[in-house]
Parts: sequence; C-alpha cells; structure tokens
Amino acid sequence: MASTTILSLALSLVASASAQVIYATSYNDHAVTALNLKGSTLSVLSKSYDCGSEPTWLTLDYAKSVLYCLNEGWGGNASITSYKTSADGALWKQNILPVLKSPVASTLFGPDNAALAVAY
Amino acid sequence: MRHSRWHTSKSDEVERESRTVRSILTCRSDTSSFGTFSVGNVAALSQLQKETYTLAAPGPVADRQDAPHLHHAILDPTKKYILVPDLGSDLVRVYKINGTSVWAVAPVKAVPGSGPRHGAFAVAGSSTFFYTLNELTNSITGYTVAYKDAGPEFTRVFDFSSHGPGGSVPKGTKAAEIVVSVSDLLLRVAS
Repeated sequence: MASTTILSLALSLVASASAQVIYATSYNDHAVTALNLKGSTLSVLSKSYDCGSEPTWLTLDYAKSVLYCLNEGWGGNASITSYKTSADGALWKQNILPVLKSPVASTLFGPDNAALAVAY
Repeated sequence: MRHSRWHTSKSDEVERESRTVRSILTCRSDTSSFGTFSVGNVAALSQLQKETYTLAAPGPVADRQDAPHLHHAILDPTKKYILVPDLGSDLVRVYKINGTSVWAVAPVKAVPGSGPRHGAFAVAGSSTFFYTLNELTNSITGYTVAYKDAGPEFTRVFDFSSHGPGGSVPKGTKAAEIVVSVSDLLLRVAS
C-alpha cells in the first residue's frame, strides 16, 4: 500500500514537469485561454468566458492555484474574476466582483497574498 | 502646388481623425484610480481602498496626458511597496504596504512628456534598480533605489531609447512591455 502511494506521487511529479500551462487573454475572442506548452508546441486546454468582454490582465497566485482576471469593461461593466486553476488547465470560476471601469493591471500583496492592488 | 496643398490638408485631416480615434480610446480607458481588494477568500472578493486622481492641467503630450492614467502595479522586491506608473501624470506613484492596507508616499517624478507605462525591478547583489518603459517617448528610464527609513529613494541614472542608447523607433511605435530576465539581468522590451 505504501509503495503504491509513492509510485503515484512520482508519476504526478513527472507529469507536471513535462508540461506547462500558460494562461492568456484576448479582446478578440473575449476569453481566458489555458494553453499547454510542451516542448515548442502550444495547444488549447480550456477557455473561459467568465472575465467579461475585455479580459486584459492576469495575475496568478501559483502557490494557491488561484488566477485573477481583470475585465476592462469598455462596452459594459468592468470586473475582477477569480478562478481556481488545476494542472489539467481547467478554470473554475469562484467570484466576479464589479469594479470601476478600466482596470488594466494588478499585483498581489500583503500577508499570504491576501490583497490585490489594481491600476485604472 | 495646388496638388501638394491638397495632399497636406488631406494628411492633416487623417492626422486629426487619428487623434480623435486616439482620444476616444483614451476616454474609454480613463478612471484615473488606484484600488485594493481583499482576496483572502477567493469566493468573496471585496474592495478595500480606492483613490482617484486628477490633473490640474494637461501634461506636455496633451491628447494622452489630459488625465492621470495609472497603467501598471508592481510589488517591489522587499514586498513593502507598490509602484504604479502613471502615464498621464508623468509620475510613478508609490504606496507603502502595512498588512493589506496601503498609503501613498512621495511619488517618483518621470521625465516630462515620457508617459511611463510599465515598470520592472532588478536586484543585483545589494543594489536595487527600477526601470520604466515610457510609451510616449519610447524610452527606458533607469533608477537606482535606496531604501531609507522614510521610504525608497529613486535616483534617475539613465533615460534612452527603448531600442537602446542612441536608437530610434519607427513612427507610430508605442512602447508597451518591459521584463527583466532573472537569469542574466537583461531588459526585454516589447512595443
């Protein structure tokens, strides 16, 4: 039993080292896209449309597997969307907070990255 | 003669039109603010602070510097300060962190008309450097950073083309992004 556990742990480490997830946003398709980077090849893992019409900036809290997305909101309302991320590229929406128009950049700060600063 | 005058006025018209388009784009992205949010619970984000700025008079590049445009937010290497380049005000705003609260301390004055857009830190041994990429002049400004009790002091040490000292950029270029490579301390710039 113990040896089985060790084996599966080793396998999951290999899996995460051989592939990398890249997150990207675009005004064109209004999506947050998770891409798999393997060697020099990119492939789409998932797309989310939960960051409004102008997803513009992403901040990743890698340790907590949380991704924050800013929606600039030119045509509608601006917002911040929080996602839980997973190694397979799935994005799980946690919250959407309406904010002042035109947020364009953010950074995490504070103890345990408990706060997000936003420039408008 | 008449022909060439027609061309001149036509190109003026195109320039005016492109200025109008730019100013519409600018208006669209202009709330001139800095905000902080509690994200400790990712399922319940909430606003903490918000500061909105105004300009008494437009900056040297009036059509882009008609109002403050806060464009980036950068945590400094000590994690005690947040720097916010303000393209409209030719400033880098500086906020001191206490827990999840912030308050503004003295800003860094950028080169007038440069329009600082994005910034990046580099730490080399015991020295700290800060760089801004300036959209309106397509230039990079470098500062040394000295941490004093009252806060960080920024001393400008260079300001040159985003294509390198003495370099030039094609007309219409807008410098956009700057990244410091952690492995070799090289600055990388995208326009």
